[in-house]
Amino acid sequence: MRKIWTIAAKDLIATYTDRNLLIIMLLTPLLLSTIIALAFGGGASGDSAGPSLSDIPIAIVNQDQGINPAGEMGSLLPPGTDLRGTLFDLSLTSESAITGTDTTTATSSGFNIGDVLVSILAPDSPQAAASTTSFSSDNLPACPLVAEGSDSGYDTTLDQLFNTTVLTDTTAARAGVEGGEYAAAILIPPDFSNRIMPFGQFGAADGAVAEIAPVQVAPVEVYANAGMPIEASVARAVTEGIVGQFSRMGLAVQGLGDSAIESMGPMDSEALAEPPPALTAPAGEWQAFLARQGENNAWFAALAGLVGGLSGGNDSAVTDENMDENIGDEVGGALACLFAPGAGSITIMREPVNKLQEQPRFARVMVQVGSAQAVFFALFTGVFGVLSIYDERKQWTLQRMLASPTSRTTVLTGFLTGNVVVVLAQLALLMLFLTGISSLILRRPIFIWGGPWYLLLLLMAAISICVAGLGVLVVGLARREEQVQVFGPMVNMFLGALGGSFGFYVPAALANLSLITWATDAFRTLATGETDIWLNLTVLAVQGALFFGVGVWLFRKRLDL
Amino acid sequence: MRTIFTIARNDLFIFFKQPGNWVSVVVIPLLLTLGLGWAFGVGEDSGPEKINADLVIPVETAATQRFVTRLHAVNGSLRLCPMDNDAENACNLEDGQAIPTVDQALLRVQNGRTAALIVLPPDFATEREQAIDNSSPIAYYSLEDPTLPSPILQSAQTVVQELNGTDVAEYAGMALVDLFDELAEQEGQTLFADAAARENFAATYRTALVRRMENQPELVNFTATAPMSEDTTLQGFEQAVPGMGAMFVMFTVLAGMAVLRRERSDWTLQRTAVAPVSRAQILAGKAGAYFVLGMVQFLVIFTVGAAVGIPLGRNAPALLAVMAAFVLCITGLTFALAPHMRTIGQAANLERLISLTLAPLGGAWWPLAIVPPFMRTIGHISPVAWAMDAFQKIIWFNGGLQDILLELGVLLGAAAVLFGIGVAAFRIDA
Repeated sequence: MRKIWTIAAKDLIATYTDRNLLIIMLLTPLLLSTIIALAFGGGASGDSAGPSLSDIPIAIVNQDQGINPAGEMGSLLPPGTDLRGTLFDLSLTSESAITGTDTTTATSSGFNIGDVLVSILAPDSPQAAASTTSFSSDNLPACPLVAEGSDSGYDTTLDQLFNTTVLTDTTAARAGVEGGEYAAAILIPPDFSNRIMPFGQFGAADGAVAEIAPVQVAPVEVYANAGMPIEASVARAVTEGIVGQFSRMGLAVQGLGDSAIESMGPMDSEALAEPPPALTAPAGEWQAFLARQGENNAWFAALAGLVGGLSGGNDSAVTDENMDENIGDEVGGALACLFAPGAGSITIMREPVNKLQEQPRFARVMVQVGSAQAVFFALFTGVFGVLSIYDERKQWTLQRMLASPTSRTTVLTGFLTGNVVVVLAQLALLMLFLTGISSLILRRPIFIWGGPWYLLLLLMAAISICVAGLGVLVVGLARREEQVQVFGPMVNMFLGALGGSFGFYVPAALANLSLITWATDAFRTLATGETDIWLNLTVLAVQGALFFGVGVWLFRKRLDL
Repeated sequence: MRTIFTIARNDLFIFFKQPGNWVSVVVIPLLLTLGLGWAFGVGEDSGPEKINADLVIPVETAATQRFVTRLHAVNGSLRLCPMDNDAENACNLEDGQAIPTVDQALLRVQNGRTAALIVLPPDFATEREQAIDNSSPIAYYSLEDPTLPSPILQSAQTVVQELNGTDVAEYAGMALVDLFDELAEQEGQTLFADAAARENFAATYRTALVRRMENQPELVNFTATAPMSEDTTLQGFEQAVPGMGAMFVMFTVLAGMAVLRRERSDWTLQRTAVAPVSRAQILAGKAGAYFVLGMVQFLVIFTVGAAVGIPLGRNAPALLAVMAAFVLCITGLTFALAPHMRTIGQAANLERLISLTLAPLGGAWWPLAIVPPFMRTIGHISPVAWAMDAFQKIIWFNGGLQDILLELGVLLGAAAVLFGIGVAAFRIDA
């Protein structure tokens, strides 16, 4: 037994004093794990919501002709109306893009939702500056449905997320996408505002107040490059989010229209006591008309009050004071919710299921990746460690050993034990260094492997036996040393690919064929605070025993002194 | 020139005479590329037809019922347990029983009997205006890897977005109605005779909103230059082929460090110097051999890519130019490092270290677009990143030579510098 340990100790010392071997055994897996964990673990903070993207090149083409409330709604918003600085404001700050609370308003020249989309996605563009309609978070009453401090979960503003180019030609935008210049082009159709906003549903030729028809939102097209699926999906999600907000506004008004009309009964020209004025008639004329209708209908009375209040009782433009006085912060705040991205009382919180999920993202990734890399590189040690016997033979030290009163079995057992011990030490060092790197990156001491320590040790021992056994099997199967040099890495690469060592995961049925899967699963289980790794230990131990059994039987036949 | 060709041909002959090298250059890269590309695709399609997700509803109301209905509508592959359990106990419920408590359901998540657990809060149906300050969030539990997108969580978030949209529209709309009521009162009228009438109106309004929300047409039409989501396997290959190509080129070409070390140890390099050939010819011949090997390696993997149907762009010369520039760069790196290798083992281990770190760093294993900006910047230390950028422009965007001039410039510039270092350090008799 002492001889066996002497041979094993010799291998251990020889291996860990060879700087070249340490490069592949320790440095490479540590570097690789750190790179992967940094890439997917949220960097130094270690708690980012996910892989980040920035400066995604996109193009936007706004063909939206907008709607003109002055034309569509008579003098409710007469020419010259400027709502800047009132309930809603027009100047959007880019920083407010995702996490801010934004809102919109119309100017005298029309209401163009396409312009708003441009001003959100390309706030610094000349087109946004010249647009008739845009967004702002300034002067906006607070939406009470946005919880304080809430955000969308992103840590990037739209300004950082996209590098937006505003184009006027859809063909050029499509060509840019096809040529790889843009990840996606957002193409806003000409009737976008007209159909998303209910104003457009009024305006029958005879001036009658028609029933509000179901809205038919002309879809915005996101034309994406197939080669940039991730960037394209981000562009799609953001566009859907913004357009969804606009539709919310339309939805509120349409639903209100539905309900009001239902409560008032049929509404057509004949039902009215007198024909309504022209849509372009002065506000005063509309107010008078509504007031007369309002004698028998409270809704009309309310509308008369609103028109009168907003226009100051005459035909002058709507003023800040009129808006504030007649709308007020409470209603203004409620209306602001229609444009607030975080508005809504229902939220979803991802709760941790185990201790590992409570850890920072970097640590979680490190447990998965680090254990996979550690076992993957241990495989190389296992295979090439056995080859050291061939080196000993070449240098005649093996023959000298056998010339001493040492049996062939003792020598072989010593070498194989040495291989197991070398792998065990490699795993232990890697686990230690990986937790050290995690502590360094997260700037606090953290032991990422959970425990208990005896199970960790047992697991590493089972992996070492399995890995070293595989090494013996590969070497035993090969006829020559050169074949091991070829087939060893091949076997390891496949086990690594199946076991998730390369950053991608195969279906479980295939993954379970790799000992790396069983090992990493056990490491992850221990990191979660659970201790049920007995199946993993059994699988690894049985595999190890089988590999060793067959491998040693073959190897003894091959080892010609 | 003939001498250079002879040296290169000789090295190539020796290389391909060894069957093991065929395995390294053809078999392993081919199988790994196929496996990788296939794995990406199959990962999407091979799951079960239905995914189990437990749903715990402490207080059943119309609102919770709507949540369930919409969740089913949004994701037809979800089996919400226990309500969707069937005669075959697809929900894996013990004795077909209902899930009584959150703790028991949580245990099912931990044991893998269900993919996720969604717990609706008791105040889920509370009036939103009252609930905003106190409402509890919906709790979501799953063993899913938090780094990967979750189809269940995404579906639940879509439903929540819908519900919030309706809530907000109702809230804003009713605020307007109350304003109207005040205005009507000022005109001596009233919209609602009493509170019950207002409640009736609110109910009608909510019904109208829900109807409109559920019948809302698609807001955004998503189209792509080529099918993006239908063929995920192809997507996998579009990343795997250039990525694995670049990685295996590094393995193959950087292995030259060990070969040069061995030739020096075996005195064959020194013997070559005895022949009437210049140092430059020897170097050029050796570099030529590894350049050809690198190109062969790329062609093997890209042939696999073409065979599985990935579009290789319309510009073959540009594609070849990138391959050539990258191989030259790696060959330069090989010759810059080779003179400093003391042992074959050191060279072999350095080859693996460099290949296995520069490959993921440069985006060979995953697109650099999904890593943080600082990792993207660091990644461009690796020549792989420049090659991948160029491949992306050609293969994915049908770019041409004019689109990849920067990448070619960087790779060729690096190659020139590395070759310069290598030539200066190269000693035949060292």
